[in-house]
This record gives sequence, structure tokens and C-alpha cells, in this order.
Amino acid sequence: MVDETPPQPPPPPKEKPPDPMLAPVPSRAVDRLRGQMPGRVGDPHYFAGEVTLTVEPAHLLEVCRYLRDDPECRFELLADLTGADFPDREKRFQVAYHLASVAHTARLRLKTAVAEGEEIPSVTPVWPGADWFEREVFDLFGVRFAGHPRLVRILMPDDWVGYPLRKDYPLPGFPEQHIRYRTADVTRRAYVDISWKAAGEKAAAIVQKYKGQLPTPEASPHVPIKTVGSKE
Amino acid sequence: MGLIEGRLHPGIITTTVDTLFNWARKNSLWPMTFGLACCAIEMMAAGASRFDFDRFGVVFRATPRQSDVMIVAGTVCEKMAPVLKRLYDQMPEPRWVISMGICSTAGGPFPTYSVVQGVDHLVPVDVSVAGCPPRPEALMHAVLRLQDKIDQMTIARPGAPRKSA
Repeated sequence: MVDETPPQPPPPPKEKPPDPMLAPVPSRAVDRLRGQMPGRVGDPHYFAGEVTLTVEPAHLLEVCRYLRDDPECRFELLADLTGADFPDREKRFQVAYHLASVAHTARLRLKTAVAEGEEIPSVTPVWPGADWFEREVFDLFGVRFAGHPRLVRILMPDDWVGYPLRKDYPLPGFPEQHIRYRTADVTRRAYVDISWKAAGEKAAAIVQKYKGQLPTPEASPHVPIKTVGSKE
Repeated sequence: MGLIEGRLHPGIITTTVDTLFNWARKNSLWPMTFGLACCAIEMMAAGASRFDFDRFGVVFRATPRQSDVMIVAGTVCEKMAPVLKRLYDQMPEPRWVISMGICSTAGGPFPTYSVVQGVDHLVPVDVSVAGCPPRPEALMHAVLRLQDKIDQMTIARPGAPRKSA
């Protein structure tokens, strides 16, 4: 049976309604910050009812202290501190501070960015709990936090070379790192503090050495590994 | 047996040293708990009342000095590798290793920079258990297979297989 109705003209394009996910939400902290510290933070970004502010590393400590101590804000809890790597950006490392105010039942996210080799002021003077968070970001991204009490690796072995969560770090790792555990004397490894400078130079050298030779993290085939007793 | 048959007291039995030693060893396998991931939960279940490892003489010890077998249950990270090797070295001989689950056997779903791709890169493995994680029955089967293996040992040449009876 053939449909006799003539083809309908397409409906006129409707005005796209604003995305409810991006709708602004009221935030006392944002109002206070923009009123009391103009120019210190960027425009707020809203997503899914969450508020994000960008801040320059130079103003970070000042803004954090204000957010903690202002009676209208009282962000006394640093819930999390995370890093991310955007290799295409001029300042490739983004560090996010997830704040919570128990008194006002409010949350706020601060984001800052640094280029490779630059430092971010440590927020351990404001929130002592930032200690291990910052060590983790340093361990996995190589971001340095100025004024941190003891900025050494926390998850990877102390003498690990490279920062595994960087986008240019191959997923299977570098062959040297696997071989050293496969050799006979794994228990005699010395646990040493390696300065960030020496670690950074070693990491840069090894990345340069394997440039374009190792599989990309996307392809991620498994690098063959040596067995016990293999001579290498 | 013909020479001494019937000449000894009925309460006395004769056997070989190998049989006696192997019987003693295989029926009191004390594992060192090396729980590293979700496999450890199944290992604990195997030791608890429903599956009851005690009936095989398997009593978990929390120290390498009192252990006969190391059950590596879970993902072995590169940072854990020297610890695992050290604990294995601290176990008295004869000692055995059960690799429980695909992670400790071959790295499992983690072909990454931080995971050892098989615990046999570090210590000699006697029995590997497949599964992710293996059921307690599978671990139980591994212990029984290890008992079979111990039954083939001889003290004449340690580790060499005896001719099967």
C-alpha cells in the first residue's frame, strides 16, 4: 500500500534551548571572591550544578587562604587535588583543587595550569592534607609544588624514571624499567631520594631516546619482557 | 617386604623415607598469605568454614618463616616485586609457589608499566591457577595438584621426580 500523502516540508529550525547542564548556579563563594578580590579569578564555569574557577598560580595561595578563612566561604576541606596533561596547550599541566565547605554545604573547584618546568605554590600551608595529593601529582605528572615539605614519589618506586600519566609516556613503560626487576638481585635495590631536577633530566633523556620508536599509548601492544636469568 | 613380613609387631608398618617425608609434607602445607588484590578475597573464602582449607592441613601463616607454600593472590606491581622476592627468600626450604589468578600468572588485564607480567619472572611457580579471580574450588584443586607434585619428590635428589609407583 502506497502512502498518498505528499511529503511534508521540513519543520523550521527551532531555536536551540540553552543546555540545562551548563546553567549557572548561585554560589556565595564566587560572589564574595569577585567582590573582594577582583581580577584574582577568571569567569566561573558551570557544569551539572558545579562551579569551576580558574586562577593563576601566582594568586593561588592568596585565593585559597581567602576561601578557607572567609566566614561566608569556609572551604576548610580540600576534598581532592588532581592533575591532568594536555600536551597541545601552552601550559600543558592542569591542576584542579576540589574544595568543600562543611559549614555551608558548598563545593567549589579551582583550576590552574602550568607549563613544563614551572612551579605551582604548594597549598600545604593552607590545607595540610594536600601533602600526599601533591606528591601524587608530582609522581605521575612531574608537576613541582614550591614549598612542599617533602616532594618525593609516593606511588611509583623511588628510583622510577619518567612520569607515567603524561600523555607522551608509553603505556607499557620503558624497557629498562622492566629489565631491572627481572635481573637476579631485585632485593638489593637501594631506596633513594632522587631530586626533582635529576629525575626530570633523566625522564627527558629517556623520552628523547625512545622518541618515535615505542608504540603510542593508544596502540599499547605489550613490550616483550626478559625472564629471570636472561643476559642483558 | 618379604623378608620382614610377619616378623614385626602388628603395630609397626614399614615404608620408604620418601613416602614418609612426602606424606608429612603434602598433608601440612602451610601457605604464606600473599593477598594483593581481589584474589585474596577468594583465598580467604577458601580458608573459611564453607570450603575449610584446614581439612587439607592448609593453615595460613602470616610469616614466611613458618610457611611452606606462597600463594601469590593478586596483581604484582613493580614496586611489590622486591618485597615478594625477599619474602620468598625468607621461606625455609622445601618451598613451593602457587600463582593464583591470571594477574599473578601473566599480568592479566594490565599490560602496563607498573605491573609485573607474571610472577614467574621473580620466583619459580609450581602451580598456576586460571581465573579472574579463581573460585575457592580452583584454589583447592591447585593445592591438590601441588600435593600430587610433592608426592613425586625424592630426598635422594631434591626436586627430581621419583618414578611413579
